[in-house]
Amino acid sequence: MICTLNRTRVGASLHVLVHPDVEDFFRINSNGMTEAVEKWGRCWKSSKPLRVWEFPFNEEANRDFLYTVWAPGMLLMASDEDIDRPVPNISFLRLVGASQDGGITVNIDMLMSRKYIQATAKALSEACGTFYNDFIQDISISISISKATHAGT
Amino acid sequence: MRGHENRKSMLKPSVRNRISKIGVELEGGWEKDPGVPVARDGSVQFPGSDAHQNTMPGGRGKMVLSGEVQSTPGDLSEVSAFILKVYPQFVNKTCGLHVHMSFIRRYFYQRLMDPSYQDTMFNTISIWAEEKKFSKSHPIWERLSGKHVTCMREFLADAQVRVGKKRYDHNVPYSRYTAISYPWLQHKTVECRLLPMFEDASDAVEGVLLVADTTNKFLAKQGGRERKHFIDLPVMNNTFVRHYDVNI
Repeated sequence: MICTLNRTRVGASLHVLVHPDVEDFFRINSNGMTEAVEKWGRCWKSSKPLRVWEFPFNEEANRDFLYTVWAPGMLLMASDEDIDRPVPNISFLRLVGASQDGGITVNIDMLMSRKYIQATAKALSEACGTFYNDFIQDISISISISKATHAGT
Repeated sequence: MRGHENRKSMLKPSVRNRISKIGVELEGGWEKDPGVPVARDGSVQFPGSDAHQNTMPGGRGKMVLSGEVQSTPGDLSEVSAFILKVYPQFVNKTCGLHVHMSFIRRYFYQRLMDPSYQDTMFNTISIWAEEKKFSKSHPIWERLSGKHVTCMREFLADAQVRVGKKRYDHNVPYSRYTAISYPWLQHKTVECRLLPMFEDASDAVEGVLLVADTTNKFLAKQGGRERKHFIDLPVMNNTFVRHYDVNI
């Protein structure tokens, strides 16, 4: 698994290679349905047409606006009309083929200072972790039930 | 003598040109139609009925037009010729000389999105202005103070590149009134707003050449590969265990 972001002569380049379990998560949730990235935004470019697994909007997951996975094709720090700060856009995790053949490279029409690209990579890392906790991580819950004992007086 | 040599070396292009096209905006007043459209500009002000009182020496006749003229983008020699041809006869401290530069690659543009580029421009123009011995009342010093209201020494590049239309707000994170501004979505240019309009058109040409050369020299020093930034993805197959104790 490896994701990198760097500045290039065409703007920014994002290379995405995710664990097969991540792509399986989106494939299963989408029932195998995909959609063109261009339908949502035109900032992402690639030599091949880009598609993402469909992923129904989840109001619960989006309530704190810590990240978005519903903005393919848009800037990596996406703006939202409802809030006044840019939100890490980790929609690239939904890319079809992101776990195969070395991953996918996406050119992004976005100019950034050195400081901003560092901050963006950090924000995306934290957002990926939060999303993983929210949706993908296996959780094992064990419950111990014991009867309370009371000392006699 | 040494200073003179320094100035000569500053103005002599010494590195490969990375600027695709350059353009200028000249603000001021004209005693006759300069032959190119003069756009209204709210920042250009000649208060009072006698414009002469508000100009540096140079205005001779009566001002009939004021505002801003824009060159078409071209190379340095074309822009220099434009400046000499249409230079206004009236200027004062409200008038700026704005230099727009576009680049062959976005790579170059992004490398100029660095506060040290603005610092370099301040330093270079300060040295040049001292060598030119501009008077203490010359408007260049107010701009070089970094506190001029349309030319602040602030770095707002990452917000400015995302502004899609001309905004006139001051004191906002995307304000365009910085010494170096980045109107990418509007013009695909980096704009230097640090120069004032000069009494003499030849000083204006010299100033524009200096801005271009400083930019090329800054880019020449920014060699090397761009660093890759890693986006950390969580380790998979890592089950999170939660344990609850319940007493009944």
